[in-house]
Amino acid sequence: MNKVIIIDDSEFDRAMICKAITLQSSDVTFLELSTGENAAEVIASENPQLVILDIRMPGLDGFTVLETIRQHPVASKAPILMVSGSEQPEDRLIATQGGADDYYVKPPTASAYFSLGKKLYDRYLCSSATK
Amino acid sequence: MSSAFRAVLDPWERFLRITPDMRSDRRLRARAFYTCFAIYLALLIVNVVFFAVRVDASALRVPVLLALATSIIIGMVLPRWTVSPSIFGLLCTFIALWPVFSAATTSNAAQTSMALGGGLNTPSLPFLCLGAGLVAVNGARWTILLYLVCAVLLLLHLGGMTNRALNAPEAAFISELKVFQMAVILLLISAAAYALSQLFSKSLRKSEQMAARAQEAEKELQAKSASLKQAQVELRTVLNTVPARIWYKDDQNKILHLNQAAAESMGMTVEDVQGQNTYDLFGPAAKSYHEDDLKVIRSGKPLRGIIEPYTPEGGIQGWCQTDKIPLNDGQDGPRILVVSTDISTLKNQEAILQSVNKNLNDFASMVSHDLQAPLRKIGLTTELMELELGDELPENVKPYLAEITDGVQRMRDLIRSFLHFMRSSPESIELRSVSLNDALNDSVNSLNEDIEKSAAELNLPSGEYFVRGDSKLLQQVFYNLLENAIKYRAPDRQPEINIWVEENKQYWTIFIKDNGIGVDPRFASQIFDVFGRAKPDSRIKGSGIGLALCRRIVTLHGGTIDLVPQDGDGALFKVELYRAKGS
Repeated sequence: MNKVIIIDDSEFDRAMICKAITLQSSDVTFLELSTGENAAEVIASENPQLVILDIRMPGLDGFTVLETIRQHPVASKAPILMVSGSEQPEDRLIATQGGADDYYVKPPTASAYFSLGKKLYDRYLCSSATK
Repeated sequence: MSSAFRAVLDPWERFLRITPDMRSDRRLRARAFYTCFAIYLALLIVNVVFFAVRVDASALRVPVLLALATSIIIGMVLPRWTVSPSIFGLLCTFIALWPVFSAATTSNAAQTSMALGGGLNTPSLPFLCLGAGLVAVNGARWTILLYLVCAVLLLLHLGGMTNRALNAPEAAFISELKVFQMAVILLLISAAAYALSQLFSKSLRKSEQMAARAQEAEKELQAKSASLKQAQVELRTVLNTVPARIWYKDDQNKILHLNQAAAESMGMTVEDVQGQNTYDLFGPAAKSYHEDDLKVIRSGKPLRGIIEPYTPEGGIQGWCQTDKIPLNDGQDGPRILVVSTDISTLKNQEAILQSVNKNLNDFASMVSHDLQAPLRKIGLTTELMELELGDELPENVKPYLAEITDGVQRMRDLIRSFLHFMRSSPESIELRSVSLNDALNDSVNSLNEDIEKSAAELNLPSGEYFVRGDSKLLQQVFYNLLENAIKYRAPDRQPEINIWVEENKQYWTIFIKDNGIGVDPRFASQIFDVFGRAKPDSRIKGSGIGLALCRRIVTLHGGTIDLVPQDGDGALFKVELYRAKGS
């Protein structure tokens, strides 16, 4: 069973990504977190195949959470995808320099969301499901 | 005075050594008159005394009165007189001496005595005196000589008369003539005395003139010295009033002179700073000041607009803008003039502005994020609703959902354009050699769908052009221009867009011409403003930022973008961009 942890303050965005990935396979469980507090510990204990991390969140922002995760002895190995609500050229740079595996802008249309779901499933989840 | 008169007068005055200043010297003429009048009075008294004793006094009344009247008239007129006194003196002499000449040249004693008597008892006597005085005062030596010759002739003649037997009337007149003889001698003595006094007065006048000149020179020197002092005071006032800090330094970084503002900026007085070394006053920063000084001294060329921290150890630290000028004024050793302006306030404002700018950008990002999140939510929800309901969606609701999707898309475009506009700044672009053709092709590719839908005919330039720019931003410019050309197409004809490039010395000029609805001349001046639309038509979608963004980007590239006025249909845009080196 694939496990994806979604850290995003927007319930709607969490639901959308769940829906997009679920459309690819129902063999994925989701753990939704509305803040990045204790994210590293949760990741360490849950050992997900993918972590989707929003950048702009109240309290701890995505970059700080990323740093905490990358410094955690166990959680640091988890693949992290950072997503942002609006395109900021510097966000991609900071995210990749901070150790994120990938960076995406939250899609504006449903079809774009679904194609992102497919892309993520193919890249991070498909292979582990077949294992 | 007529020129003919002057033509006669000038050579005569040159002969008499009359200078223009003597001619115009009223005091001199007045002195001459009073002198002559005094001689005349003396002679008259002698005459009157002798004639009153020997002749009937009543016979003298008329000539004496006439003489007095003449003297008074001359005395009144003379000080205002502008004609040369010498000329007048000569005239008087001639009138006066005429009877003497007559007497001297005749052998008839009666005639002689008559003539001489006439000479003594008529108004010609004052003229004689006056003439003598005038010529003496004016130093007309030849006229004095003439006098002396006449006197000698007269005396010789009279002497001759006394040596032979005379008849009774002759003897009677001779006794009178002795009186005249005395008078003439007296006159001659007076004239000679005045001639001598005149000789002295000449040297006196010379020394007076020299003294006057010396006095004038001294006055001039005093005036110059006063004006120099005044200039010094003014200079010092200016130096100490200007807000700029000014000082002179030598090549050893030593301050030779400085103004009050410079001293105050170091928290010291002018006297305290003078002669001190900059290394002692400005700490480590003095080294860079000294290096700049030496650069200026060695090159002999001024260094202007140096912006650097100002670090006096005892004063107020801040920022300054400095000009350094080499001084080659012949003084010992090379020197430098330093003029520095305090720009701390400006620097602080710049920092504030930068901070405000950053805050504004952060704010724009935040706003755009916060606007985009709900917008995305609306768009996605609408889309999901359509997907979930599918055929169950009532027909009458479909247009509403379409309106929502359309509105969301327009809002999204607006936010994107707004963000682009906010983010385009000199710091955000990196200029390099960019293929104009690539930028155009990329724009066309991005607009493929619109081009196909509108069946637009597009003619791109055939040559290969390179400009200095940022490829993404230039692509944005051409995208906006081409999008406008399609968007504002004429409903009754197929859109046709022609793009061509013209070569200039430094620029490539790119023309983009369409056959659309064109730009209403009333709005032509506003189209490059934010939210300035070529045609306020709600049916045509547009953010109102597109052309403003184009101008901003092109301006950041050092180029220009303009709408070229058109007589026919459509719009013609002209974009000038710097050619890349080697293109």
